[in-house]
Amino acid sequence: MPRNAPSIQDDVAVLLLRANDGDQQAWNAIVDRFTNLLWSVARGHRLGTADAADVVQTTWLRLVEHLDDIREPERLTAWLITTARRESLRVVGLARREDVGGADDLAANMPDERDNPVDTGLLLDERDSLLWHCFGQLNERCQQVLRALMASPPPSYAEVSSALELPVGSIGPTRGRCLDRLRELAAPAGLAPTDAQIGLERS
Amino acid sequence: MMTNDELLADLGRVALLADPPPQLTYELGYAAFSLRTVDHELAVLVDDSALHEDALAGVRGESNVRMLFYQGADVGVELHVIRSDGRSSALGQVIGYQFSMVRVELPDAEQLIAVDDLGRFDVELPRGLFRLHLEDPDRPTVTTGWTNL
Repeated sequence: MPRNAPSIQDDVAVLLLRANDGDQQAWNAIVDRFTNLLWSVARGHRLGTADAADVVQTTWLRLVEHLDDIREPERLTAWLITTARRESLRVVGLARREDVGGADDLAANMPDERDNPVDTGLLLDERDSLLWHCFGQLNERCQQVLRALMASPPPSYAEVSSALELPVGSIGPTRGRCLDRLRELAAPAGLAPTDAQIGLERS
Repeated sequence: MMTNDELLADLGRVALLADPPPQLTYELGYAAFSLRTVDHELAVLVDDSALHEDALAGVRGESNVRMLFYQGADVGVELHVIRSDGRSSALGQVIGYQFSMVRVELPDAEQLIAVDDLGRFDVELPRGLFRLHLEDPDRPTVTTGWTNL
């Protein structure tokens, strides 16, 4: 758990101003608030734990460099998602090239037990475990969109749209389709409403 | 029966249980603040061959080569990184000003490298994060963005 529990009253704009003035506590509060979101973005690109941790660290280092430039605090979430996504793509691109270039670093790239973002090993509750397993069977785009949307604090559709380079009008429908697919996958395990019940759901 | 909002909230709860950010990511995030350099000019990474779509289409023998280009206000730095056996050697070229030294910073170490008369330098880099500080007695330091090798 984070060292400093974020409080709802802490306004991001104020935190940014204070951090820009050199206030470490304000900076820590920003880190506490958004680390889960950055982690979700990196893991949504199916990075292993070590690579995902690198992406989160790099994103924080970039924000430190750009604290002066972020004039619109409401853009912070989109900026963070975009930076983490670009850094994730860079890692994915490098990994692909290493696959082609040879096996000089094979041992370093071997996944550890927790490397699979949708591993269910840490879940004690059977229902949670099945739900997470089904989530892992969704396609990559669904996992990226849902992981971004489920993060706390939840980003807006506009933020997810600009960060994942999807039309803003497609976020809502994608979210709906992906959740429907999740229900289909989970239905045989008795976890979610059946198709007939889904039809009754309020939108 | 769960609405979409409830299902998404439930997924978020399960994600935090199944795949929480490791404590280390928070610690590294807090620590990043101490690496802030307020009075330096920033040279931003504007081109990285690792991001190119055609990375796979390159010559196979060159697939461990990565080209990085950083652009500041009036200074550019090109880095040609060659990776082998888990370490990287980089050939650097500074464009736009004759700096005397490059200070190579890692999260836990740093070293000073001389720049030759043509703006060239070479450096060994471990896997992980680094950034460069171009230093000269006659002008403000130019610092590149952090880059992950």
